[in-house]
This record gives sequence, C-alpha cells and structure tokens, in this order.
Amino acid sequence: MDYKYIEQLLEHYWECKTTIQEEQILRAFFSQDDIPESLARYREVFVSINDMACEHLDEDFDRRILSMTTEKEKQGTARHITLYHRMRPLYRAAAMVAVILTIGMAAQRSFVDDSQEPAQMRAQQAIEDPDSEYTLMPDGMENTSAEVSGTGQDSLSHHSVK
Amino acid sequence: MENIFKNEILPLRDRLFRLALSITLNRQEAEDVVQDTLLKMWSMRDQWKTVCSLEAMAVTICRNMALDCTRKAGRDNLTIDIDRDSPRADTDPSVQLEHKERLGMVRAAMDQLPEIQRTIMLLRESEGQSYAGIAEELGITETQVRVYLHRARQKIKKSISGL
Repeated sequence: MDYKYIEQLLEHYWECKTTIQEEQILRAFFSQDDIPESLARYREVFVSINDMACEHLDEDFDRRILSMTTEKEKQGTARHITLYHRMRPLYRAAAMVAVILTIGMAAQRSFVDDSQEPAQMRAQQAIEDPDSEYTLMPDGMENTSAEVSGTGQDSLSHHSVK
Repeated sequence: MENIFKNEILPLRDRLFRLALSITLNRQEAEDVVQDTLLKMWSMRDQWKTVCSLEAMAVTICRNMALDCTRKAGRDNLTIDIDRDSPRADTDPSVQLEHKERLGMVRAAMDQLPEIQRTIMLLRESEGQSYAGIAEELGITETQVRVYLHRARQKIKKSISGL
C-alpha cells in the first residue's frame, strides 16, 4: 500500500499547513491498528489527541449545576450597592432640612413685611385724615419740630464759629 | 434565561472541562473550575444579551479560572492522570509495553508545553477549531495562533524523533 499521501499530510501537519479536514484524515488513519512500521512512531501523537478529545464530565454534573443555579435563584442575587445608594437617606434628610429652612425663612420674611404694612397704612391714613393722626401723635410732632429747630441752631452756631 | 443556560451554556461543559484539564492537569481541579465557570455564567445572566458569543465568554472565564487555580497551587510540569488506556489489538505484551512507553512520552511532552501552546493545541486538535476562531477566543492574532501551534507541534515532533 502506498502511504505517500499520509507522509505528505504528516509533513504539512508539522508545518501547520493542513486543513481541519486533513487533520481529521490523519487522526482517522492513526486510529487504525494496522499501521506501517515507518509511521508507527507518530501513532501515539494522534492517539493522545483522540484521548484528549474524549475527556468528558459525567451526567451527574449537569444535575448538580442545575440544582445549584435553582438554589441561587431562590436565594436571590446579591445586589451591588454603590456609595451613592448607601448615602441616599442622608441626602434625603439634608434635602428635607433645606426645604424646611427655606420655607421658614420665606415665612419669616413675609411676617416682617406684614409688620411694615401698618406703618404704610397709617401714613396713607394721615394723608387722608391729618387731624385724627395729629391727635394720635401730638408729642411726636412737637419732638420733630424741636429737633428741627435744634439742628438749625447748631448749624447757625457752626457758621458763626467759621 | 433558564432555557438559554440549559441549551447553550450547559452543553459546553465537556469542552470547558478539556480546556481546564489541559491547563490544571488535574481532573478534580478541572471539574471545580468548570463548575465555578458555569455558576459565574449564571450569575452574569443580565449581561448575556450584550455579549456577542456566550461560548467565547465561557471559554475566557474558564481559562482565567484555570490559570488562577494553577497559579495558586504554584505547580508546573505535571502530567494528566489519564487512567483510561487506549485499547489496542496487539496482544504481544512487549508491543503493548512499547506503545505505553511512547504514549507516556508524548503525553509528557504535551503537558510540558507552555500553557498557551497547550491550549491552542487542544482547541485545534481536539475541538477542531479554525485559526480565526481560536484567535478570537484567546484574544490574539491568527498569525500568533499559527506561530504557537507550529512551536507546539515541533516540540512534540522532537519528543518522538528519538523513539
């Protein structure tokens, strides 16, 4: 029998020039029992490769894996919590405090505005009814005129010094 | 999700086992690596839709886990404990002994190959993968795959040249 083709394939095999199909031919050839003496030493290479390809796990392995995945599913997956999520309650509390403070300040401001409002109303009332306002604040007017006259005297004395 | 796991990922178990075995050279460790790989794949099921190839993903996880395993164990140059002997028709004990001796030498030569060469050899010889497929799975170029495989085959050839 002529083994030229196999020898040629072997040469190509060592140089990585064989195709997957040609490598299959070599494996099939060397899996036979009747191999010529000249090629016998290569037999073990392909036998080892075939042995390697036959390695497998038992059927029980599948059952074990499936039961493990089911168990994991029941337990639920562990959630990865970021720092942002962990601090979220703190952010919420801070936001609540900020809102309360803002509302409080706004309310205080409006109360201050309310306290100023009667003065404006009284001024308006004084324009409309000066007599009644005068009876309410006689001392105030007197004080004001005294201050004005005092200031006039001061300014006169100031001029005289000059 | 469960169907994808059962039909697409779980059938890869033998392939992953051979890959893990070629790296760890220990049957029990290889089995543990495959188990961890499959459980990790399951825990990453949210990412399955975004991954191009589940097979490539499983192979990468398995290879990394097997490499971690050997690194932790800190061992080199072991030999796979293949208990099954390839059956032969030869009845002559001397022929059988010679065959066993040769087989042992070839296996030792294969097991002493650097991890990358051993993995590429396994993917090509046992799994019948194309150079492009191996390159994609291992994240290297096709030329690198050819170079590593050439080196591996030359070492094997050298180991049997003295027989």
